[in-house]
Amino acid sequence: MRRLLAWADTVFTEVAALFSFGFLVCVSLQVLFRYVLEAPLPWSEELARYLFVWAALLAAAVTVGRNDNFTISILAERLPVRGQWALDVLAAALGVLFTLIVIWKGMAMSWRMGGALSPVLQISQGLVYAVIPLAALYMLVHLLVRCVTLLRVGPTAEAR
Amino acid sequence: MLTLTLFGVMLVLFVANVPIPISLGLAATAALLTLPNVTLEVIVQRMFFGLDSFVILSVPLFLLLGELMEQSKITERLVEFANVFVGRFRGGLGHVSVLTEMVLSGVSGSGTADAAATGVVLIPTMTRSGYGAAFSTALVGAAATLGPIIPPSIIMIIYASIANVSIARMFIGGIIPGVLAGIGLMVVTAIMARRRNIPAGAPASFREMLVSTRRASVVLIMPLIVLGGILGGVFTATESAAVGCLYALLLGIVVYRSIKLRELAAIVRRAALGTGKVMFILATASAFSWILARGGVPDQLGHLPFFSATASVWTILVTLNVLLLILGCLMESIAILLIITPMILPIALRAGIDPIHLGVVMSYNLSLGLGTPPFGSVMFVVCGIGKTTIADFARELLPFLAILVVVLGVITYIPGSVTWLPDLIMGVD
Repeated sequence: MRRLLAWADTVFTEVAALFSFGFLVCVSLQVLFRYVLEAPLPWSEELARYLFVWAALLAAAVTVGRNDNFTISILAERLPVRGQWALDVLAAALGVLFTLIVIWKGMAMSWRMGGALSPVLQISQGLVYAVIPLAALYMLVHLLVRCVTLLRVGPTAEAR
Repeated sequence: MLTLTLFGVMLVLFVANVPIPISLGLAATAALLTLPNVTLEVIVQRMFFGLDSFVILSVPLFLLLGELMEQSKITERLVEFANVFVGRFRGGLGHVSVLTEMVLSGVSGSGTADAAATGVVLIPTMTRSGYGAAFSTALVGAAATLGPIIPPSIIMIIYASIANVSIARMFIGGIIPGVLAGIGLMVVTAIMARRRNIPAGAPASFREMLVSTRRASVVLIMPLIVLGGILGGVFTATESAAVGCLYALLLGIVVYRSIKLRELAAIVRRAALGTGKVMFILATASAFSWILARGGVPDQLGHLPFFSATASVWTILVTLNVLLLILGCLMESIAILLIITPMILPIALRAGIDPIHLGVVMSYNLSLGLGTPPFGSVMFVVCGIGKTTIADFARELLPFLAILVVVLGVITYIPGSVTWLPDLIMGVD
């Protein structure tokens, strides 16, 4: 399981980086074609936006997997180990709840929009939206593993 | 009921150390359940629409630009350039750090990258020259908070997209406050240098000035391309960030050869993950703020004494400033901006506050949180470089922070300090 998660971390990170480079290229081409070649590209903006949404959410999933998100730890820092452990379990469980909602509703939306095509590129909108349930699924797996690990190890300092 | 659920759930989850984006998402979901006939699908839709924007696309590009500038080691040339001009004064290296940060801020949109780029070069040099590690670290940290004030600025872009105002206007509006803050920091540096008897550097000859100006010129034209492009209407903010990235790549890979192609992948990866962290908050915050508006929260807030229709402009602005300074000590600045702006904007507009003035004051205020304990990201970066404890950093930061707060007071009290320049350049809106 651990190896699978590490592998998924690499894949998601690399794809997010590749797409980031992709939207940099798109926006650069947009400028080049408008000013230098004087033939504005019709598709660059749309493609850049979609690559960005994918990159952003895949990267967001990776940060959740690495437990590297902004929190307000003002109370948690002052708690004894047992209290911190309880909050960690709670945070992971609530994360599971949220990602389940997002997967459920995200799949419904993707499915419903499957037939609609994007204005310029004519890609299925459902395909574009699919990154939401995909990223949420990645988060869900990580959060479940974290939850189980925390519960199994128990309230010790090492669990963190 | 909706308001109570929304904020109740948010606060409980925040205190329980649940990550900010997940707290916002769950609070939005819970609040949505109090409304009849609304599907939860709205949450997912708003998350998507929050990200699907060409304006917001400039944020990752500016983050990438910051990383590229940090890695391409162009800072050394800027430092050398500033040093031949102001190094001869007492506390000269302190002035050098402020000026370097100001030029870097004119290219990159975030404070942390600027802090890292300047800190690595200047903190060790200043420490060797007798400034004291904690003092050097605090000065570089304070100067880096200018990053989000001097345009371009990620915080301002996000504000402009929420408030639906012109990015160019916001950027021009940040120039005078940014320069005032820079001058303020240099005045404090001069006073501290005199008091601690910090030596001056050797004066440079005219020839040296010419040589280092020429060496720095390729870097110095970057703000002209990035900012000039946006302000002159040549590029959108997003395009200008991309052009800036290309220019930084050209400098780093071809001209200075300080970035190897192999490192480039790591730089893009790091920028992508930084983007993911911010964008996850932005996505769930857009669901949150949709429900906030839908539930009429700004109306209810407008009945509170400090924000009511009878409250003066100053009461509203001062209350907002105090609130933001407190929140800035508790959470990440972009998250605060995303939660507070949709609530405060209708109230400010009703009171006749210029949305550009409001936005620049908010950006300035929130950028202070970057450099201050306990959560300032700039602070962590510079303390890491300067090997200084947070406590020592905080003690040395106080005089600098004081002058930055004074400038905040000035720009809050005199709206013209923000709005005069954009009105002059772009005409009255």
